[in-house]
Amino acid sequence: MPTKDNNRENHTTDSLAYEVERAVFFDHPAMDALVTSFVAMGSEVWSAQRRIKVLESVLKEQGVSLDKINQYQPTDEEVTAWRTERDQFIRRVYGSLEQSGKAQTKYGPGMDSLRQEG
Amino acid sequence: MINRRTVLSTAAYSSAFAWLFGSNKAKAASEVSEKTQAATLAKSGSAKKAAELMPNADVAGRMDFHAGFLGWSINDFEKVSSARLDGLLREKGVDPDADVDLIPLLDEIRSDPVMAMRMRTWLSNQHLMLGGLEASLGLEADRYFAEMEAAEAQYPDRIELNPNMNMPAYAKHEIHLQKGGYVGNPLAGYVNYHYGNILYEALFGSNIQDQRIAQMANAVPLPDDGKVERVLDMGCGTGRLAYGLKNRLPDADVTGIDIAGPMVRFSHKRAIDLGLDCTFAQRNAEDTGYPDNHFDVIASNILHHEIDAAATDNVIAEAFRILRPGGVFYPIDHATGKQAPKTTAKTKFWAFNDRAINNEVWRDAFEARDFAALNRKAGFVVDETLRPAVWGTGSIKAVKPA
Repeated sequence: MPTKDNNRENHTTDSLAYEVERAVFFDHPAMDALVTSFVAMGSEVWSAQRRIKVLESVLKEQGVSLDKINQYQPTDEEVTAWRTERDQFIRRVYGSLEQSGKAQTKYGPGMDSLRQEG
Repeated sequence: MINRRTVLSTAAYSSAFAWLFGSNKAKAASEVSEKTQAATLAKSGSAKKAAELMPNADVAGRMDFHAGFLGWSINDFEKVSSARLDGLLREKGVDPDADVDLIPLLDEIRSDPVMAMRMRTWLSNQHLMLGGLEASLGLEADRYFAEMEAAEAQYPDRIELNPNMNMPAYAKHEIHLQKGGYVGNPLAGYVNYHYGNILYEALFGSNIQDQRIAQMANAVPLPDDGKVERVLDMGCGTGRLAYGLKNRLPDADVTGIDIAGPMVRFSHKRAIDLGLDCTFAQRNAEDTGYPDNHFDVIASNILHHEIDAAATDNVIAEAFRILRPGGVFYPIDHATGKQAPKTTAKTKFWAFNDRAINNEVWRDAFEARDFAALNRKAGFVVDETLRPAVWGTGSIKAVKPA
């Protein structure tokens, strides 16, 4: 049956979750979590690099020098906001490490029975 | 450095994307021209970028990374891991090109460091990509809801939603690890649209999805008598095949149906954006509710490998019922039967991988059957010798006898 969210018709129904991200490929599940963490880190680093390229291009168009950027001091409000974003960043990158103990099966729920079927 | 042309020239057993890279027999005859077309599209100035319509530059940057990582994974890393798989099998006295039972070997293959890292990194990237898309687009939910609602208010006669849809279990899976699947996330259409764009960016170096599916639409055979008034896209997903059919057949009534309400809403919304007069309806392809002999042409794109075998049988029977005598059924999907690639230990491993870490639940069941034979059994006259709609697909022409 459809569900409603904030009085909006969603036109959704229940789905069958597949938590394969908890699958384990290495001897210790922490290794799997670390790999996920490294991939997430790459995503964040590249996203930041790409954004810097965008900013530098825009600033150049506006006639702003890189010296002015290097000498910039953030406001108190910016410091607070940036800390919040930094903490969100840390959770995105390292959050998978918290899940190390939740791995339960080799291929994820449901997959062991598949392996028995040939 | 990833060479995109390598992607187009290697018949990788690609763990996740057999639909795009399946080395079917039909491909051989058309490989050169299809590759040329794909390369041309990739260079096209009109090709849309994957970042199109992303919520913001940060999300676009992360998804750009995942596209690049995916391209590396299914290209350079897959070459290395395929070679390693060869070696592992030979060490066990197994011919990698022979059709053998892999089950006793799976744990050992999976435990090899190269294979483990290949599977783990692919899975991590897929999980982060789809999870990131869902979360990021969810932050803009009000905007996307407003877009769909505005389209529905503007053209209410072009959309039909079914709040009482009896959703079969096979449709509820989180295919490709898309959280909520197609039916459980109200923004599933948006998520799937962006995922498709990223996938094409990874595979072709440019988002040519619209163009490639337009090629599919152009490949759909028409009835011999030339009468094409009503056209149906079964399992329309994000609507692209229906758009292609409408562009090709502007005088025809083109309808796309999908069992998932969110997909229907997105398809309808984007059709409005594109200025296309298509109708979209939330209907089950097994039991559409359309009258007998109603459509002149019925097409589909990658529907059948995402539903179970019983549903496939029912969909074929339904297509036969609602197609008029002389009408054409043209399903595009993975290659099966005579069009299928040779089954080997390697292809079986990557197919298993596709199931295990890409949650392609029904792929094995679909590929194990001869789709052309199933259509013949239902009463169609089938031609399976046509070149594929586009390179890497399986497609048959099934005509309802006059």
